[in-house]
Amino acid sequence: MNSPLRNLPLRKSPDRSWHRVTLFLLATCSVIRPAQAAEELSFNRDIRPILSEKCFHCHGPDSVSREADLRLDTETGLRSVTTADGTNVAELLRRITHQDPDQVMPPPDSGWELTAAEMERLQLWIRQGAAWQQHWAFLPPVRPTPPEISGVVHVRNPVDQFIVARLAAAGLKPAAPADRTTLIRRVTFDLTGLPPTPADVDAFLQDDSPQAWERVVDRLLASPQYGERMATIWLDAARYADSHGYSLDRRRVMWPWRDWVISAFNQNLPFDQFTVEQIAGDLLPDATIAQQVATGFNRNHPIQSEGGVIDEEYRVETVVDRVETTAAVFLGLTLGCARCHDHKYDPVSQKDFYQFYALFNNVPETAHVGNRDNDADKPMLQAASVLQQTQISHLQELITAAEAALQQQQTVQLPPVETVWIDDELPAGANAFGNGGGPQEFRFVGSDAAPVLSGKRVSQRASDGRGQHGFEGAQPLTIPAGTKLFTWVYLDSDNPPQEIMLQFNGPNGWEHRAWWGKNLIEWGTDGSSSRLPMGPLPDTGKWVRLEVDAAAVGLTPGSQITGWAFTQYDGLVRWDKSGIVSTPVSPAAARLHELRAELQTLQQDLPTVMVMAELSPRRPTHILTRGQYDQPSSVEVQPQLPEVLGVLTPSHPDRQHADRLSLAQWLVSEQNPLTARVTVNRLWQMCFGAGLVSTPEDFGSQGTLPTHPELLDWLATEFVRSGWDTRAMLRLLLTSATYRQSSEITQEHLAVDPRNQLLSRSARFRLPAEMLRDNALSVSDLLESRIGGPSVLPYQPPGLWDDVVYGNVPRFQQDHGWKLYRRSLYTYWKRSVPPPNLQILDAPSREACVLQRSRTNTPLTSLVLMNDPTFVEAARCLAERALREVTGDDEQRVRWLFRVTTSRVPNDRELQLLLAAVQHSRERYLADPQAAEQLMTVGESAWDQQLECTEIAAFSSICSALLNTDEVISRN
Amino acid sequence: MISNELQTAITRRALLSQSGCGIGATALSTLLSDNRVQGATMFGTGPAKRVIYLFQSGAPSQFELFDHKPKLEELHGTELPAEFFEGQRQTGMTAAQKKQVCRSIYQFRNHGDSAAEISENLPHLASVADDLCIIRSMQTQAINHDPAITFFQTGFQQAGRPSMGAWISYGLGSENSDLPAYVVMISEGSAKRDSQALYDRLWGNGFLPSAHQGVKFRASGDPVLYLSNPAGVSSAQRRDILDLSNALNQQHYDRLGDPETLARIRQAELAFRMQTSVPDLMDTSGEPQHVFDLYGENARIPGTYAANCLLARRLAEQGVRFIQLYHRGWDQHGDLPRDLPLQCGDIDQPSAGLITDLKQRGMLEETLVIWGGEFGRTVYAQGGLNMERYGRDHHPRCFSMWMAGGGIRNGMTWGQTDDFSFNVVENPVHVYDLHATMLHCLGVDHERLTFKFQGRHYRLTDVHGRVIEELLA
Repeated sequence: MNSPLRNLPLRKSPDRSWHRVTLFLLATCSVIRPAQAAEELSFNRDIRPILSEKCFHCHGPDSVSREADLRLDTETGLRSVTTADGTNVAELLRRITHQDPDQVMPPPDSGWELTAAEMERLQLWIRQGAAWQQHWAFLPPVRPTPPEISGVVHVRNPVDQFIVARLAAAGLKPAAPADRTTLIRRVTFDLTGLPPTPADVDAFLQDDSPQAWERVVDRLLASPQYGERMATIWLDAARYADSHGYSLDRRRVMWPWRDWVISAFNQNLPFDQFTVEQIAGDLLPDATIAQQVATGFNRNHPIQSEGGVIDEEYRVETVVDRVETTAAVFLGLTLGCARCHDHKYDPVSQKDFYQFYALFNNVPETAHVGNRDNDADKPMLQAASVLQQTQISHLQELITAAEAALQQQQTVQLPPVETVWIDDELPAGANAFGNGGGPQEFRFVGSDAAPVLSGKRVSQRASDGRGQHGFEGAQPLTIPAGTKLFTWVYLDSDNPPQEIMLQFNGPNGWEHRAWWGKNLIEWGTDGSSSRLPMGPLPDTGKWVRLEVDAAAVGLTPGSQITGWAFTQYDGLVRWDKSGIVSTPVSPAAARLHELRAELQTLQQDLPTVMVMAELSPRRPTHILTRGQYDQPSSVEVQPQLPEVLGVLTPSHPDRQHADRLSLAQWLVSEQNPLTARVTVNRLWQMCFGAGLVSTPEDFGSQGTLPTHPELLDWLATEFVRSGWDTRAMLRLLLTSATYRQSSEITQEHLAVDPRNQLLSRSARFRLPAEMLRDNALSVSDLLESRIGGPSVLPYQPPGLWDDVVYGNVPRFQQDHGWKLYRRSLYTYWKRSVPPPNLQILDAPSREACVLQRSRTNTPLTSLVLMNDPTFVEAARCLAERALREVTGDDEQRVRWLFRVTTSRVPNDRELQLLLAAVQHSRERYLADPQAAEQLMTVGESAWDQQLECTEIAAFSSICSALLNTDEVISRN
Repeated sequence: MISNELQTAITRRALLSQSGCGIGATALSTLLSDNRVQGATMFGTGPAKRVIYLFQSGAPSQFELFDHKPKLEELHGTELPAEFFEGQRQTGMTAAQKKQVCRSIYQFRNHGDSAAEISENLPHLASVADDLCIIRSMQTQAINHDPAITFFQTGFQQAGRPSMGAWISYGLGSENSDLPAYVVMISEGSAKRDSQALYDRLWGNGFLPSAHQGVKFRASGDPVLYLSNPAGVSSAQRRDILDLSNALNQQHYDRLGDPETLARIRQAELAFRMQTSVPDLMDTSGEPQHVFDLYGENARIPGTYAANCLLARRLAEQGVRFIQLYHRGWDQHGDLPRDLPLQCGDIDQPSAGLITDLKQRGMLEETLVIWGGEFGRTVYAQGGLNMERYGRDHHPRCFSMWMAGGGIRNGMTWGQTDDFSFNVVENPVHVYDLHATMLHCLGVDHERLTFKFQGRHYRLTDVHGRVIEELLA
């Protein structure tokens, strides 16, 4: 049986109908064109969109809102009004053309109205015999033969045959190939999310072998950054985040799943396996840890933690979320629409929805997490990720080597060194605070008001209940190996506290605490490094020194603290001199200590990742009336596919019902018409800017039709034929001539193919958020390339979390050092406050599945690229590179900068502009060297003191301008 | 010019009626934002040109403010009849406890010609009672803060739909090309309890183009994120950098001809203008003393509700379409007698001052002011009946709000609740109805303001909502 798409008349008579094709393509987005007498209409192309849009609402799949018992979405239904012999046809025509508002269809109060063109089409279609077709996406793809193209050089593989044939019919030719520099830049971003280095560009420019392009593509596909790039897209689809969402929105650990995704792409795990493991890895025989971690795909949903919620309500939401995400990502269907009632447009009944829902409704979960960081909902798994496993064995090797090195050395015991951090003053950069009982500030008092041990003053607080003062944001204090934190405290004899606590702001925020006295302050986990018991309160009425072993409160050697809080429950307490005391060790011993600590942390903190599992016996699933969790109907359903898609069989002879494994296996079977199509469409979108179906989340009747239906089917069948080989599919797309076209826009393009739906040129669009940031880090040499591991918190404007977090939920605690410069996919994603710079650049909040980001061009984009410290620092470091790495004059430096940022050589005009700007900028900074010095302080990386800071500043401006140009921030 | 050709090719009407071509298309998004700036619109012939929405986050108690229940004096301490709970949801916080009816400790009096009943907690608002339209019969669906605020903002309890401000920005565009169409400002309540989170998604664009998302103006740091130049970059230096990047962009445009490049130049220029226009707008030091007398001296302290009310008026003058204030701290589960007056102290004078100020400037008629929280509170006390420390749990079935100006009838109290303010007995106003009525005042038919996403035409009011004609002036 042929695919209905193959029956589209436009391909039956290419010579006559090409012009119409173009018109049609343009028309799909705005209005339906009038019918032309001679043309042959196709139900799927010409008629279903009209019926779906204007009629299905009352005469469609939804049985409840169906009027007059008439449905127009099925062949039988339609036959009842369209058979050419009966009176029904007359009735239909009469109703759609009726002048009487009480008679005409659609009724005026529906808000819908048929246009004259639509009416004409319906009439013509009826005259032509009213042929019906099943919706195209529900029929299996059939592999077409690529159209013959004669005498055209633009054809490099079958992709081009489809594209060129369509273009020719529209009277267009493919665009000329882009120049090699543009090409390597384009493909490097597309495959790795990073810019090519000038060396990469040179190598390609100099490679005159016929296989030069293929070599570049293969090199990039094999690079570890490929997995990161692919994962970034998948994280949007899988609504991955590092926090639970909803109101408390605390930290969760799902990054081992994220690392699994990176690794799966880098190993080129076939997409069918990739699918099966994520949907049902836990149900595979002898499932490995990695296969179980993979099921985290369906645990990335938000989880509630608000006090008053009813768990069942959110458990239902969770299951619905799985249905919606799985259906959108793997089927391109909006099943969620059938939660409350039958689907309005697609043949999915409410029963179908709950059958599908039943597949995901059998997880032993609470759908509620506690008010603790890293808390996980059941089911969960403590697992070293693939990458951690590598890290562990690597560390073990290093430790063995370090032990050997140490044995070679003589150890000398050195006296301990005390570093006072707080005495009369707070450390530099500290933001002091005071809250709870007592003064709402950090209050120092002199000897007139309190006994003083050291210096001139002490901090003091009288508190009713819990009270504290402290500071955060100070310049970091590094904790060497073998450190104790110390403080001096004086408890008032007449008004002693019930409890005192020290809190340190370190790698895990404020989750480093030690306490004395009665266990009244409930922060942290009792008995752990976040709430470490130290014994009874010290004596009152005198100064007492308290010491806390840094490692015991989770401050491993090399970690840094930026804040300290003195906390008490009731009473009057004074605090004096505080800091750290450590015993110096030889570098070799320190190194060993550090490595051991790192290994210990790694092993201790093996992440607890949420996974899927099955409940036994099964949780029954009822259709929920109007989708309400508390209104289950009496109708019980069994796990199954929506009827229109087919039937699942139990995945194992012992199993009575279908389960997630049945679904997973069906998804990648030949019975499923959708997954291969939906997947190649997304890969196409990645390479060409928009999908062949421009609604990647909706292949249903309200989605857009494919611009190149035969090509879509050819690719889908090719994908399956290749063994679901993602790399091979990308290689195919990227080695096409279509991909290699120039993106230049001509008047002809604007006239005939303004939206580039015919692929008459290469797509041009602003790079996604992650690439913009990674590009800046890359060209400035700041980028940290290590793969995987916990997410990091780079710069963001202060105070953003404060509007969102409350109670004892940790505040934003910025990371330092290398963690500031990791690739953006490792940026900590807090759902309620996504990374602001990425969000402004259209990154989603990750609260729900996103298969296509918007690409906006707003003033905020410009503000981020100009003023975000990340980009300012990158511009400065890039300027330093130019001054350091390029010997010569301004022109040579400017040429180099232009090359690094755009990959190409500047033309004369550009060079003049840049040189004039350097000179101008230099004069400004020479006149105001203080401004130059201020610029050096943006960002935490130290500036190169060997260089003149006015020169760095002058070139920074040029770099900032370059990093802002449309050429640099666009995929050209 | 090419960009003009493209612009005329895709009219706003076509976009509004059929936008399933993928909102991700770059040129399209630019066109949308350009249209927004130009104010091209198919709507907007209502009396209101803009909305100032004073959101009281945490849910103020109707019993202590607008819904006087004298019967509770005699019923105080009795147990709420069980029939009230049949089929009703209760939060996990009070589901298990005894439901003892609790009176309000505050006095109510009639105010103005309209004889509006307002409690002693709100003397300033009482003085403008004849400008208010008090609704005592509000209803919502959700019973916990997150879903309830989300529902109010987007018409749906789960995250992901566009917020009302985004819808209005999308439907009406902006009147000012130097400012966003939808601005949000947040203030802390004086009750200083841990208050509910307010996240960016509450003013998010959902599936609408992101140009329509609310932009938060902040009281400390940059008023708009990343607005200030970095240390060491003067405004003159920034001008130079922009000139260079614009010149390079122009070169690039000449080579490739993408209209998007020209749009980028325009947006960079707008950003540069915002660097001046926004701080100017946020600087209220030039306002005369009599204005501060209206809003109260707190209006001099950045970040307070009072200061935000004054800024709201300044934004309204500048043509910002939807200005939303959030005041936190209204969640009085306990210690209501201590905390509610503090909250009222925060909002009473500034809210009344805003109305008076708008009226004096002749702007009230074209500015719809809306005040209210995300749900109401229970007639029974949470915990015990200690009248010094009592509090109330969440209650979605009825609560009070008020509106003023912008085509709404003034001097009216609408709707009745039963003796327990548990159920609405007359003229219910659902959140959907409030949305529909608000849009109506702006000249927008809530059934026509749609956006096609994932195959469906979405509306702020979903498939519900009706304009409450009786509320209209």
